[in-house]
Amino acid sequence: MSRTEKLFKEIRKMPLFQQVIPMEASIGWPITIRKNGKVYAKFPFFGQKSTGNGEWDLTPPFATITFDWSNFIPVEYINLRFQNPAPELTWQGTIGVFPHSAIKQRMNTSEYKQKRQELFVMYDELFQALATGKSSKSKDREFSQLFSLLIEEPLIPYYRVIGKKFIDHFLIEI
Amino acid sequence: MNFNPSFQAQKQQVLTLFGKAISSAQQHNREAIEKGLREAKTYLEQGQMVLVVCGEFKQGKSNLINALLNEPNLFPVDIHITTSLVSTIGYGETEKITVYFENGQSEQISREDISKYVTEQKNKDNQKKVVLLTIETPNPLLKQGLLIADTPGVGGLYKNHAEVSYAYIMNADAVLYVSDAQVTLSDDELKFVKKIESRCQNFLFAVTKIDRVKNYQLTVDNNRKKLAQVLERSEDSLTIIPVSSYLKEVYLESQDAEDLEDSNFPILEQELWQFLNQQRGYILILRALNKLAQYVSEIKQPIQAEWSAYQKHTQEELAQMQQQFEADKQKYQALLNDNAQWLTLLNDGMADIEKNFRNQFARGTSNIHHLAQQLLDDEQMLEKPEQMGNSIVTDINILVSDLSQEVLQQAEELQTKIEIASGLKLQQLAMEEPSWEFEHPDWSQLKNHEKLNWWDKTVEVGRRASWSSAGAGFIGGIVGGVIGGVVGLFSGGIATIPGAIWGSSIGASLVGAVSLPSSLQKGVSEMKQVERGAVKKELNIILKRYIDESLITCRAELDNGLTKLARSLRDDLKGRILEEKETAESSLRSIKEARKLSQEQAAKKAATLKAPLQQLSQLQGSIEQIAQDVIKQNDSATKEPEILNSDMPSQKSDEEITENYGDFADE
Repeated sequence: MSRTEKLFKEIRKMPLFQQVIPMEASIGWPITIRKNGKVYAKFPFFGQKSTGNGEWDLTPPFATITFDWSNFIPVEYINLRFQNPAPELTWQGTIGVFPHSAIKQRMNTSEYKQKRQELFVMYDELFQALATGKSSKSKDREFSQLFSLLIEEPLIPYYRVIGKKFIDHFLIEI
Repeated sequence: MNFNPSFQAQKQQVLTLFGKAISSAQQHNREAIEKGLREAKTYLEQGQMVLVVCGEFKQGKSNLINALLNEPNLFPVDIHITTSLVSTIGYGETEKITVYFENGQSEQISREDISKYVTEQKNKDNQKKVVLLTIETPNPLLKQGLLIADTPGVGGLYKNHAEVSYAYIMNADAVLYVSDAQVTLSDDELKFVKKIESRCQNFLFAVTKIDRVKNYQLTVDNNRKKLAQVLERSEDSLTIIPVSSYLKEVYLESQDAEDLEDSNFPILEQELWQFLNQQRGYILILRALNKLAQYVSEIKQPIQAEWSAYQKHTQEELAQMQQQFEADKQKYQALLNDNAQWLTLLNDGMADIEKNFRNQFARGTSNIHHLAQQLLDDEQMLEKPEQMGNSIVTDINILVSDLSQEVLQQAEELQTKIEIASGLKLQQLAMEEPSWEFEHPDWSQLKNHEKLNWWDKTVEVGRRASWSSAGAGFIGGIVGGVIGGVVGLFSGGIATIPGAIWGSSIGASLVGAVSLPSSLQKGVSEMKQVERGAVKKELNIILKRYIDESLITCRAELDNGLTKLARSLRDDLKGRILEEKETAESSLRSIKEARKLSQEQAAKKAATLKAPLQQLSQLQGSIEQIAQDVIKQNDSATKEPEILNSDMPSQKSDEEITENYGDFADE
């Protein structure tokens, strides 16, 4: 299992998660952060609810938790509704559905899960690259393509607020 | 012998999880699940790994076992002593040594009396009619579940014990073949190894007494070449470890690390555990995890259903959920009816198995007669008619063993087929993925048919464990007619699983059947004096009669075993259906209760369910994590080494390496 996927799973077992995040919340894709030479992963948490016909209504991210990549220790919790970083956006209520069209048209569940696994592995490489300061453009391209495919379309504006530089660097038209 | 930290640690982790699951079952009044959990826990606790130590007599087998266990005085090892029967040693809270006799009696003895029963010197020609010696000892090195079987020398196999030795060997999790560093492997030894290697893949070779030989490496290298040729394997694939039991004993006195290193026992122990873990240890743990995951899901489902019902669902949605569980309940009720499809599948499947078995038995019988004729045509064999008898006995045992394995494999496949057809397997998969634990929801069309890799692996391996214990049950059963309690040692106390029932049923009668009666042996040896032609004629009659009678007895027992197997399979599947039905009914009750509550009451109730659900989810997470770690560990241990081809083009150099990468992440 990739380290990123492992962290995904570990988060739900953490006391911090259980205290401030509803059990039914979903975990978004991490934004990478580098500070004073150390690498961190910032995860957004958002809501989802079944519509009953194979789709899910999405609500905006309501919190983020940032983890030290080297040891998975949480270093920051932000309640987005309290902070209100972008008043022009709607921070409550349904904002879209999952799966978005890019996924619906191209893959079934099994393939989607496979792609998620691949992206987890690419995240590992990305974190490693940030730690060493070395990577390649081709790896960036591969990451961009997969990340842009899988990122939840209705949540993109919120991802921009949470990690603008990251989104500007990696998000491309699919 | 060092603990294998990996297996031991994983086993302890899983046992801890069992403790939590059992508490949860008790808390939620799920008695049947609690019982199932306790059984599965016991199976793991008592599940054993069988290591058979064999080789020519006087090669130092007993000495080696004593050294492995750090007990220099366990088995008698004087140079004038030869072991004449199979002895087993396993863990027990207190030391208990038991001798079992041909007439079914048993007697507890002291350590000092062991030599009176197991050695040729003090029990000549086995006048005391002993079949087996078992030792239980509180040796911490055996607590991990290792059972060691010390067998008599191959060349000196006592006539009535050949079948017991071979039964152990053929069902061992690992075989340690021991030879002396002072002489390379003989042709007879190589033949023996060739014969049993096809039945037990986990073969290790130990070359003992290296303290007496300056260039023992020559013997090791020579053995390696010969074994590679005989077994048609590469030399590198053979594990041959030179050791000195004497130096290990010296170390036990001196505690000098250098003595330990010179004995080379740490290497032997490491290899042994690797072999055992890759097979039995892996199977034991995954089987346990499979059961654990299954039962935790069954505890969780009704609670989860209730929680779901308390969410803000419309009455329409609640009605739909209720309908789903009603349908499940009806489905399981239908499966319990006498004309259910799975019963037809089972009956048809067993009929096919029986038909295959009869055909193979007939072919096997013909082969044995053919082999007997070959023996009679062998001039050297005529000089040693006793060996002829031993050879026949061995061949019949091989036939019975092979047929047993075949039947068990087919029965295993049949069980899988029935479970899929009846929807039992799929239901298990569906219960693994409660909706809120997905980072993303699953959409409808493939939900119940998605496979979690680790779950599938535990199902596959877990089933193999149930059936492989049949092999162990077979060992127990071989002597089971004489030694009732031994069966329990092998099947972890769970004698109800189909494979174990088959094994003990088959084995019970074979001790008496498949061994040359002493009267026949005497008759054969007396004929040495008679003219050769007449000898052949008489031998032919005797052998034919003997073979026919033995095979008739074997066939009767195997048929009996098939009947019991079918019954046991049916009971096992029925039990599963009942469990699933109970879970569906429990979920239904929860939904009905939920529908009666107001929104406020429902919200309050939902809040009370959060903690138990989280606990169960955490438990599931832990189970999954251990399962994945175990699978990954096993996969990397058994992975074929990559072949590096220097002719392959080197990886294209990446001209796009970016230095000072990552400004998008900098804060």
